[in-house]
Amino acid sequence: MDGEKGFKSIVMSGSRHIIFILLLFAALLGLGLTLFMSVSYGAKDLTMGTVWSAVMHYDAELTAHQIVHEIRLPRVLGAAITGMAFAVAGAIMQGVTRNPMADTGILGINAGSTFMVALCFAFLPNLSYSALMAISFAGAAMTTVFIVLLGSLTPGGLNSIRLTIAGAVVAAILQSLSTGIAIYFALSQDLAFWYAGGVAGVTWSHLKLLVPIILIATIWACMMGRSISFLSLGDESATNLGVRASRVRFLGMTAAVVLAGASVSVAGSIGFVGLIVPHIARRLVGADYRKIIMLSAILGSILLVWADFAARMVNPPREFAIGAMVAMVGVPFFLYLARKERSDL
Amino acid sequence: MMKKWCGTLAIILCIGILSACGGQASEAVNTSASSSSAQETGDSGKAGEKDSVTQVDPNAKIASMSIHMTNNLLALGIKPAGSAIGGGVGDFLPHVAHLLEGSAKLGVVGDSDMEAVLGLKPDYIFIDEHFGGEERSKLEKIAPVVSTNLDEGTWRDHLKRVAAVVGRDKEAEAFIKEYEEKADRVSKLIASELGEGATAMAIRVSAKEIRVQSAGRPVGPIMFQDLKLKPANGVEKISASEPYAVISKEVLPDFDADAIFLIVNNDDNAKKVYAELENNPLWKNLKAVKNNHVYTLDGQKWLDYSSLGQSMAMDDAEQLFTK
Amino acid sequence: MDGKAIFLLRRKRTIRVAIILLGVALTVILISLNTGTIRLSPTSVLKALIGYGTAEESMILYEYRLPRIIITMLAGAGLGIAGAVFQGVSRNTLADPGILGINAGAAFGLIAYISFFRSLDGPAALMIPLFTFAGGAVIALVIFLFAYDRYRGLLPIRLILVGIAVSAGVSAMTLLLSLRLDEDTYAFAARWLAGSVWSRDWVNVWGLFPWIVVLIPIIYYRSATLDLFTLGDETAASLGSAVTRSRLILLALAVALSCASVSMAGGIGFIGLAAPHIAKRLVGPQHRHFLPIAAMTGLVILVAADTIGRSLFHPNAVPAGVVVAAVGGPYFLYLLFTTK
Repeated sequence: MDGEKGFKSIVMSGSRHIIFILLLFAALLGLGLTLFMSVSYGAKDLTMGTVWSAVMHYDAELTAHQIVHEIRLPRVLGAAITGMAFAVAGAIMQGVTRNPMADTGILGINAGSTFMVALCFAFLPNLSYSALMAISFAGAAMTTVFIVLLGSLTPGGLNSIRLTIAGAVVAAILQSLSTGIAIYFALSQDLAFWYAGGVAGVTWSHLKLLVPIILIATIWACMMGRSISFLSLGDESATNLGVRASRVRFLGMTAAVVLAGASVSVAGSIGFVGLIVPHIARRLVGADYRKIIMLSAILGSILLVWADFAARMVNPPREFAIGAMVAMVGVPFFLYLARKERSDL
Repeated sequence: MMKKWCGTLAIILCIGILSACGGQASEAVNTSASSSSAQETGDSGKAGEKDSVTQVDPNAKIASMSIHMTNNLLALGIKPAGSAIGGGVGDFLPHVAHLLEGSAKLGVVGDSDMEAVLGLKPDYIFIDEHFGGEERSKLEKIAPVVSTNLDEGTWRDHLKRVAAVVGRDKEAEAFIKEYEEKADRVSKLIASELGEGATAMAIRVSAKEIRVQSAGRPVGPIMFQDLKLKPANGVEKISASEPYAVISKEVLPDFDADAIFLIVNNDDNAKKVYAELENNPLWKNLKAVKNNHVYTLDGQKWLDYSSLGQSMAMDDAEQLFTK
Repeated sequence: MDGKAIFLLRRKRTIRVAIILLGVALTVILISLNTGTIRLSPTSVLKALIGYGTAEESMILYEYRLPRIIITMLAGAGLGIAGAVFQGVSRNTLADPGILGINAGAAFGLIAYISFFRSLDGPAALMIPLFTFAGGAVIALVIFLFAYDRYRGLLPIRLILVGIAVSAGVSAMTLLLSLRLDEDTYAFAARWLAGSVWSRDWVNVWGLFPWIVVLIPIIYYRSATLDLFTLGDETAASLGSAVTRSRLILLALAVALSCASVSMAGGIGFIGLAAPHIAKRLVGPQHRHFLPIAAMTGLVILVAADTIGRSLFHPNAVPAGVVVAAVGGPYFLYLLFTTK
């Protein structure tokens, strides 16, 4: 795509404005319905009345109310907010790296947090959950900084391919070292449990921390949307349009790390949301990253809430892993996209 | 031209593979027989069927290639000269480590350190078909092999089978008798604490999920047969052939258990698990929690389905309920 | 100096490097033969090797140590060559068999076998390589298919990007299945995934041997085509190489080679990346020179890593793959810093 045309398609989207607003509205409606469904149904059969009185006037004495208030609500909201975070982080990454296959995984977030947690399990076994979470976040952030620094310090500078491969390899090294530590100190499965994705353990206290961080970062990302759109046309075009490419890239990645790192530390690694959702959003609204990010946020929530809903409703009261649900939809869909969007690659 | 090339290549490779497979077919016959017998619980491949020895001097140098076997030997008062270690912990299991001081470590169960076995120069090697069936042919080159099969019968059967081989039937009878007496005592203690016919469930908690143990191996038999507890409502729905199922927290109240046995692997984990659970109002509201009937088990003992492990678990239970 | 002279010079250099590497390889193999739970003096090892040892010594050597060392040798050489082909074909000096999803696919094969097919008849020593080989090959095929363009053929960049994404998806499934395993089985799977040289029977040696001795000469025979690729698609096409077809054939050969190696030695990464690079530094970019060197480098690295892993951290052996990553990883980063 050449810069001139892309620029036009971003700026001269006036007629598409109404369509976008309608789309956003429909997505919000969909999210509302999904949340409603997800809170209403679960392993335990509850009447609609009970569910809603539990949401509206919570009575801490009733078991049914407790189920809704202490288990379903935090879980559903947790899925919604982490889905939003992964999707927005993915959208940002795809924009700033100009790589439609980018995901937060290439920033080493999962690998970094796993590595730090492995170290903690091995050497500081008495840490509390909240301390582990903080350390996992720190590990994610440090790894990303390392990968980006590495990518930018090399001759030729930070480009998409180099970032992707540096990310993949640093992630592989850390993964391998984590496994080594885990095997040597006999804590493989403890670590795997930490690493595996799931929102069943999300509590209100997690949400109190997560929601503001993720909402602020998402809004920030939307505000950067315009610059990211320009950046996605290529560094030169962006510079011509008055955008400082490296600055936008840095800020965008920071937002992505905050979003994904916070989510991973609470819900573990849930792949593919960050990869697929921005693709869907791009198909629906075009190349404008303001719109892509906004729509991704909502669609990401919907996807993950559905995935969690499926995970617990396939064979209740048994639960399946949420990541399996996402991957089952994600892998085929992704392959379809990879075939379809040949011109992008 | 190219197609011809590819065809030739494919044929060469196929021949290579076939010859490789053929070359070891004779070996494969033994090993496949033993591995399939490990899978079937039917009467094919009875434990010890392929053993060349039936009587072993208890004072001989014995290498035990299975943790269950080691514990059965220990229960009979025989300390093996060398034993396999647990793959999860990478060492002798903590609850029996003190009994194995001075014994050689022979590698992880199912992936034995052959050189260590050979270096030990054992007179006999004891294996469990469930874990070590594949290694039988290699081990037989070192010393005569005696086997049990974890999938056949209960730990009592395994213990008796080992006892018969080493000529310590009396010790085995005494051990089992002592266990039954202990079980009787503890089940009375439990009945007085929880009431007759109390229901119970065993759960394991991790950061992201809750596992409910089934009525099968490893904790089912001791809880629901020996201690005469009733499975809580819903436990029977989990197939006994799998050790546990991951269950939605929402239905915890539906189990309506009078007592909850909490399985944790070590002390640090126990603290974390408790801290997480105690904050959850739903947990606080469970019948067992309200009545203070949650018991934290020493997981290593309870999850060890061997004579010694189960007996230690019984001691653990006695301690929990005499307080 | 004309081209002929440079060529002769390079060949001379290659021969010299090959002789040195041969010496290194022999040393590493001898050290490896001397490493184990039972201490054997080097002289008794040598005696046993030529058939004059005690029954016990020859059993240790021939039954326990030699098969494992031969497997690491073969797998190391296979991975080194496969990596060189991937890098040549994709014109990306940072490509690695792992990128084609082979390790991820093999891991999935292993977990699938452990989770669902354990009751199948057949010894694990053969079933595990079978499943892991199939897993790696299937994933590589999927990645091929999705990176293939009807008009433009196999696009190297797309191959890498699709590869990374598909591996990520497959790894997610592997992780989820592996959480359902009990602790000891999981510990086994984790060790395999991290590249512990698990198979150590003669059966496995004979299973891997034909792949290595058949495929490596074929690839070597086509080394001139690989040289053409480095010039770029257009140049290669104008020089008469049917680009897409040669690329496919070479990739297929390399995939087969690395699947076979990984299925016997476990999920080992980085050798395919590091070995060709080292070889290229030593003897220059012509494939006919650096392919054999890459194979020998891979061999040395893997045998050394396996020896270090099982001796240094005794008794809890650390998988060779972890040792390779701990050393190969930083080396890769160094490459990233210095190559343009």
